[in-house]
Amino acid sequence: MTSSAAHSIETALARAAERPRFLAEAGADTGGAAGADAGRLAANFAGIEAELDAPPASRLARLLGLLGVDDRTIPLVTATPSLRRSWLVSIVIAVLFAINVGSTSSADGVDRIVVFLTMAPLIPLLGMALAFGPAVDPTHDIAVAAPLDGFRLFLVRSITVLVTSTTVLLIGSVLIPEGGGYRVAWLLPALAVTTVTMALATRFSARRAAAAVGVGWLLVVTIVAGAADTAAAFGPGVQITSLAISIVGFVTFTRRRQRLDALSMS
Amino acid sequence: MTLVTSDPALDDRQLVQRVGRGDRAALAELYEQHGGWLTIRLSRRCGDPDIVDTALQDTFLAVWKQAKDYRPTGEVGAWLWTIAVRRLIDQLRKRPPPQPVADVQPLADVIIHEVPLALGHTELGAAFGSLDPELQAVMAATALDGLTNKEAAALLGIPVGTVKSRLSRARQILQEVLS
Repeated sequence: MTSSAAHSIETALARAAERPRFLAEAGADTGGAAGADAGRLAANFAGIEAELDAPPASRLARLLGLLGVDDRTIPLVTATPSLRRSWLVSIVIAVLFAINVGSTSSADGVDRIVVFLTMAPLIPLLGMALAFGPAVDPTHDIAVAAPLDGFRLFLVRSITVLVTSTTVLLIGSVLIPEGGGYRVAWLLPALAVTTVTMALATRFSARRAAAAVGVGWLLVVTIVAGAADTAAAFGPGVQITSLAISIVGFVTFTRRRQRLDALSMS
Repeated sequence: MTLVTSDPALDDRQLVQRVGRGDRAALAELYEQHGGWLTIRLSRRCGDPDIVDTALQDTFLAVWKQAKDYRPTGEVGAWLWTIAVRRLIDQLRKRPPPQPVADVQPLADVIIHEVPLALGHTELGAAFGSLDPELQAVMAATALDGLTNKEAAALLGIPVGTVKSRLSRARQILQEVLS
């Protein structure tokens, strides 16, 4: 008949919950072992003060936090040199330039698409070259000395470069009035050259790898475009090949991960 | 120097209001007053001192940010505890302990130390004591800590459905015992 039996227990518990301090301190007969000694309390307050004194997180860091990127990865992303504003501005200018050059050199606009598609994969390559190495990376010394997983650092930075480049390039693609589906035909080639660079970077420096792959890409475009028309140069054959190369490149990169300790990242 | 007032609760509220105005000294004093028992109580919910320490620091960082929105209604301690236990759950979600919390010592501590104090040596207390520890744990988490079923599930390391079924089983047994 007392259907409120459980309810009255919950009410009594909830009333007691209004005095949490009493519950904690009156029940703390287990002594300091489970509780809080002065040293631990002081250390925790020092942690709180350090956090309050730390410079506020950048807008990018907060955005990444909202997207669910974990706290330890965020600094790796935001410290990527090629994320700096100057680099972003320069790739935006490069993309606009590519769109513009094409439009003035040809009336029908076919060349514009070729120029854009040829140049697009070079943007992430440039980003890769600028993301690693002592000349451009102010955190290089720290990265070399830190007991960080070199593979993880390299992967995080490569993805960062790829995501930012792809975003700018996609906006560029939208700005080109013609070309249809070919406007995004650079996506898979860009992925392919990036993963090949990542794979080669396990053996050579990222800058050399990026430079070599960039030259290779220009050669391939010249040969393929010389042999066939524009459509064929970025047609299904090239797309499928690019996808295959991307997979092989990424597998090679992950297989050789142990070579990416911090010291090899020069 | 601390102002000696007759009502410590009033003192606490003034402290929080000062924290809300960006007073770091007030935050230090609030920590001095409440950091100790919060650590003790958090340690009864989680056996990993690292997680407890992080949750405690997160609590006072949240207090620093939220103090200006604090409405002086209930006890400051109760307000702090609702923040602290949720920060603890956030940490547990981020890095779940290798074994469910319910299987290890901390929750037994809650049942041994806090529930008898909350219920006293009454008929209610005796009835609660007759429940299985796992049923006591879900009731303590929901009623004593004021957690939702989902939060209780995260704290105890069990599925939400299990929390619900244990709660209803606990209610059923209590009705029988007390009727």
